[in-house]
Amino acid sequence: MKRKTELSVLGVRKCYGSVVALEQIDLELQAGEFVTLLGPSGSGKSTLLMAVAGLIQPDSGNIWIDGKLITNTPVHERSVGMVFQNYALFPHMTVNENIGFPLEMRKVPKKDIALRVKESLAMVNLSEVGERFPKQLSGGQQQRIAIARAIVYEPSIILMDEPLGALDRRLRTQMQIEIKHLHKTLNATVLYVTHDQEEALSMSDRICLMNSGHIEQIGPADEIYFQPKNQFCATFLGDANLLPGEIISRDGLLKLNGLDENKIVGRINNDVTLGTKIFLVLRPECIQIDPEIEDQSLNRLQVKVIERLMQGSTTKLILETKNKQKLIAACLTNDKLSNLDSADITSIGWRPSDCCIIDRKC
Amino acid sequence: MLGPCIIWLCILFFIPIAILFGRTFYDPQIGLNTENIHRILTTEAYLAIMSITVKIALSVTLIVIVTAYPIAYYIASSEGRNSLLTLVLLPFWTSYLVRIFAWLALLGRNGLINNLLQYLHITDSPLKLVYTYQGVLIGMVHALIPLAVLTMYANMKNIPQVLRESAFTLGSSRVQTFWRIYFPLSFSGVTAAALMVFIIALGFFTTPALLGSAKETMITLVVVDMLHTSLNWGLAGAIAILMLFTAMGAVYVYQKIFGLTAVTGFREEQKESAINIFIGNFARATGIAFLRFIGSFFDYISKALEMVAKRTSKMVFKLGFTGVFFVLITFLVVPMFVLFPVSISESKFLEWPPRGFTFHWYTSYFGNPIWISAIARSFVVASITGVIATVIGFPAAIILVRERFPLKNMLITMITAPMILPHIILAISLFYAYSKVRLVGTTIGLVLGHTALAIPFVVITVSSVLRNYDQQLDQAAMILGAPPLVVFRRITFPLLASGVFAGFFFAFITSFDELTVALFVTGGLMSTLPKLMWADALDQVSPGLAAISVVIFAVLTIALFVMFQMKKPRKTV
Repeated sequence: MKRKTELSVLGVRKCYGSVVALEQIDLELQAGEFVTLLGPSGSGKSTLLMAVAGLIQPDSGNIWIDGKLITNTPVHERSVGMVFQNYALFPHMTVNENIGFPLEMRKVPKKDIALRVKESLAMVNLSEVGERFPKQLSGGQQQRIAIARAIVYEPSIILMDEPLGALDRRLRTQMQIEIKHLHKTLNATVLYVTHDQEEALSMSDRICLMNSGHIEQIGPADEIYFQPKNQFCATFLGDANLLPGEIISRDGLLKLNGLDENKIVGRINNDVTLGTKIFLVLRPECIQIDPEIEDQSLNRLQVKVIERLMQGSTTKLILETKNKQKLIAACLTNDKLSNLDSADITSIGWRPSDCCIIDRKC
Repeated sequence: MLGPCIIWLCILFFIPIAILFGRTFYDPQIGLNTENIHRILTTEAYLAIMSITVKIALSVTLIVIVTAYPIAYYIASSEGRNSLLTLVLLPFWTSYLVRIFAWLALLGRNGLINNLLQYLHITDSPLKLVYTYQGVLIGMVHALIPLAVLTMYANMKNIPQVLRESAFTLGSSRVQTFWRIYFPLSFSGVTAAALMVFIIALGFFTTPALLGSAKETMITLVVVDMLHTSLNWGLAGAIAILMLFTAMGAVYVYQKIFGLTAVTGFREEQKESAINIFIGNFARATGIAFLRFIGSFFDYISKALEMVAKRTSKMVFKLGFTGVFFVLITFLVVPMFVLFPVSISESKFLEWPPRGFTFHWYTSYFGNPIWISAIARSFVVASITGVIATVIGFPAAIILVRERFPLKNMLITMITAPMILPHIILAISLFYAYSKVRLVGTTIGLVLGHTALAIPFVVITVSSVLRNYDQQLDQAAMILGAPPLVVFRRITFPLLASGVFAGFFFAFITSFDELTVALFVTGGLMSTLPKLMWADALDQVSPGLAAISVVIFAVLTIALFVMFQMKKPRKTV
């Protein structure tokens, strides 16, 4: 079943003087998807969101919402909903009036407005605060009202600009669950901006990783995590060990710099040139400590233990290779690990399928 | 959006002044004519008056700054800010003529202070407090403190409390913290207040005329007399131009050293030239060295005191400080309350204690059609001025706050000019210009002139509210489907309403209370309330004027109170 394309961004570019905020962005959202724009400050994620909302005019490129070209449509005629980080609730209107405002703008009859406002409030579990003013509500409540206001008129897309940034940790986690729940109930299309990895990982169908105005990689969380396309993606999401080396055979044999272990195997594409400089990306939890000798399929290295950090259910090990490269390993705590001390020599291993190869630019 | 503002000010402010300039310096028969300026600058009498004007203005400025600072500081660092501020600003809301009459009642031979001193046997015969240099200073200082307090407070409330706290944790004593941290940060408010007080003081004439002797005549009075008696445009224009250059010079120097941000509220985009940087660094280095010295000096003294009597010194300090504050507040507020008893006295003079009990002053003045019409005219003129100034100033403020464009700094200075420059300059420029187009003695002429004076107040008030406005609210409204006009009508304007009404109120008061321009632009039977009061006061200050003052004060206070009540949000369930 092919889902329709709800949002289409093609070739959008935006500069501020000599600063390139967005560089040829191409992006498509299917109906009902939850896509997160994730990246560091200055990556362009908020700029892209604002462009979709219409609050910023792109220098070039086009945007379609629900099949309609809206690049030049004024803000108030687009069918988008937006939730701001600072809520942007109108202080001089009650909660009911706030939520009813977009319906008023669409000339919905009064009786229907009252009904739909009630439904919207019920969906965010705040039915009893209708007659209050925003400043009488807590931060979390205000954010839920802001969400209620953004969904009451059933826009094609809901945009969220770091909506949970102003909330404390516990509230944030709670709200993440609520937003996800709303997303499922309404089957809404959501474009979400955040710099918080965990938030992105837990809420999104797809993550769009952005850096310096362009999209580095877009895909489901698993894909980006286990198959990052480049160094930025590998290091931004979670911890990663990057081992420099080069490709020495088409079967996937690699030589790691400064280490003379042979038979390190990785997954490579068919059409690579021999001698290409690469990084081997190894996630800490894929490293096995002192694996069985008999298991021939594993890649192995001899390492020295620098430090062991027992963190409850997981133990982090800081290891050092023969040529002084540092590696981080994360394992479930067990007896074997507890016996490891600093300066101990041990071997580590990992499955070839558990690591990944990316280009290394020098 | 800026258009009407600029056009209005050009036509009604800059061009008339330019015309006066021309008239002063140019004679159709001789060409460039510097005779007037020459006479002004060489005649001893004029030089003496000008020097006394500057002397008084400087003394007043110094006293005002020194007294207003503690008041502003106290309000800025205490909890009950709003009520204290209202108390301080109360004199502000009353006509300044009213305040002068109050001082006459207090300081006169038979006034309250003299009677009190004699009653307490501190003196045997009445002190000469009125018609003296001291009387003038007291009157002018009293009139200008509220303005200084407001300016300094606006600056002080932006100094985060946390800065002082962190200074304490870093080991700085209270004294050191004040001189090295707080004072430098509040300094721009101090200088802004000083500049405005100085320039406005230069243009004072009613206070010295009523509270001072002939020796305290200030230059503006000379101009007024000159034009009323001999219509000597050349000389009068020369004096006015001189005042204009003095004021402009002061503003220019100020702007070079400090920048006008604290005065107008607008951030300036300074281009750093080598000279500016040099002056800036030099001033800064000197300032820091000076503050280090003062800080250590006072710190040493306070530590010495503490060693002598630790607990008492702390208490003394606190009490002393609060005490000073309350004395100053009393100084500001008491004169108002003297007026009512005086107004019901039977005597023909302003005396204390009031003799007898009668309301006949009220009935005779308020029953007099001339007074009624003057009051009505003042009210009408002020209302129309308020409306026009608000309608013109509001969009101008929006553009100035939200947009960036070249020449913005210059434009802001231009728009603020009528507020900073002495009214007399505009008064006689308009008088001259109006005489050519037959607008003298018309209500319209007065409204046009007053609006030019009121616009800067509206712009500054509205822009200060605008700067704190969260633009995301407008953005949210647009996204929710509201077209731009609806956004303005339903969201922006209601939230800015308090600023707009404050601007209107300032414009209204500015016009209602304005004497200088009204003096020249009205004529004959057509009069405003301040003008009538002034004329009456020149004749003899009777309790009737006190009666009028009480009524104006009462009406304004009630209006303010009503406005505050209306602003309160509806009670929620």
